[in-house]
Amino acid sequence: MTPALAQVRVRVMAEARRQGIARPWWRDAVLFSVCAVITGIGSAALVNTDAFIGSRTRFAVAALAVLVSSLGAIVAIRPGSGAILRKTLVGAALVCALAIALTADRSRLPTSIGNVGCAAMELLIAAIPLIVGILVLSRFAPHAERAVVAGLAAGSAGIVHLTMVCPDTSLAHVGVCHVGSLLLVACLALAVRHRVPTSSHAP
Amino acid sequence: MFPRPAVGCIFAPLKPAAPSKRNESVELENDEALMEQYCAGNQRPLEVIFDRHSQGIRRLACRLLRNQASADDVVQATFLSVVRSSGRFRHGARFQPWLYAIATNACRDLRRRNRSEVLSGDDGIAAFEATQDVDQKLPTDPGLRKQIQAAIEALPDAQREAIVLSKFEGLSYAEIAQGFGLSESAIKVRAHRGIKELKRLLAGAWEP
Repeated sequence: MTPALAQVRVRVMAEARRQGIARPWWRDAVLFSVCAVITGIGSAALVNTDAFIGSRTRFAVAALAVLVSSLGAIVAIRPGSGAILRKTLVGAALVCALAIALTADRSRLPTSIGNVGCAAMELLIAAIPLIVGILVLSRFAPHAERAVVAGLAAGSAGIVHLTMVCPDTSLAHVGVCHVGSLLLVACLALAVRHRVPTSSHAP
Repeated sequence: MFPRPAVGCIFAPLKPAAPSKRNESVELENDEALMEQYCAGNQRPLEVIFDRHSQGIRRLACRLLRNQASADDVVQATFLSVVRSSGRFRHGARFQPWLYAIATNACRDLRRRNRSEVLSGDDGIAAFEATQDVDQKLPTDPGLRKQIQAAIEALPDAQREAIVLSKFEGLSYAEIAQGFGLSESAIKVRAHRGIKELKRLLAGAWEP
């Protein structure tokens, strides 16, 4: 063994002693998943419940968003190939976005299409799970699909809130402010992950 | 109550202990069993894993980066990643493809961060040639070796990695795919395209 490799060996063993017992991957996944779900449901519940524009369709869409949020977080972190799972999650998020668009009121004119309040609120709600997700993703090698799935999981938290609370059901508003924000969060996750330094190169 | 003797006092051994039966048995274990023992909190298997694979990782890094100093950095980054992400090693998976995937990711990261330093200089040529003494498939003609080196260097990252891991390191396409979390067909396509490009660049003078 060369002197350089011997030095590396000493450093690696020192790090191993510092790290202790291996931290299982699912702890990070559960942390991210719980954070996304609590942020989505919690932020909706914090609003005055009388303001909920409740209908079965809206509850169904919100439930789908919760599912994407919770499972997406786990699928994004889970080691192994999992390409089919990731594609399924992206598909579920698209179905969720499509359901939001299809259940929108097409005859109604947008009341707040120029108002960026909804989009800003959705991005704000998605910010906490997005930060947690990026931090967790930076513990292993960058992977574009995983970053997108994590972004969709974080963005779905905002969808849960707005689906339950937003009074504007016009197609233009829902399409631009709600669905657009979800896709924006996914793109943000992808862009940010590739700029954050990675602490480990494990796949 | 009497205090326990501290390490380094007369009760502590003055010489390093002779390898016990337990230590010998650790050295005979396969990588997967060693990794499981390490994940359970035993440090000794990591030392055995390091001694077994550090030279191989260094050789791989030399092939991918053509810089001996960077190759040592890659060995360090690889094993630190093993330590930090040991929880991501899946029970039942093969260890070597996982380790080589980490090393390849580390090389890719280093190339991205430090492109100009990694790609040039005689050090790179020396590093590449140092890896060739074990390659029976490579021609002995130094001129042709340099041509091969330049051709491999000209390939896109994904194709170069697929060719180096499959043709030089001897991993199967399935093992590479498992390590990177990709489908086997994706790796086959990368390797096939890389080989096609190599043939074109070398005009048939050498075939991997």
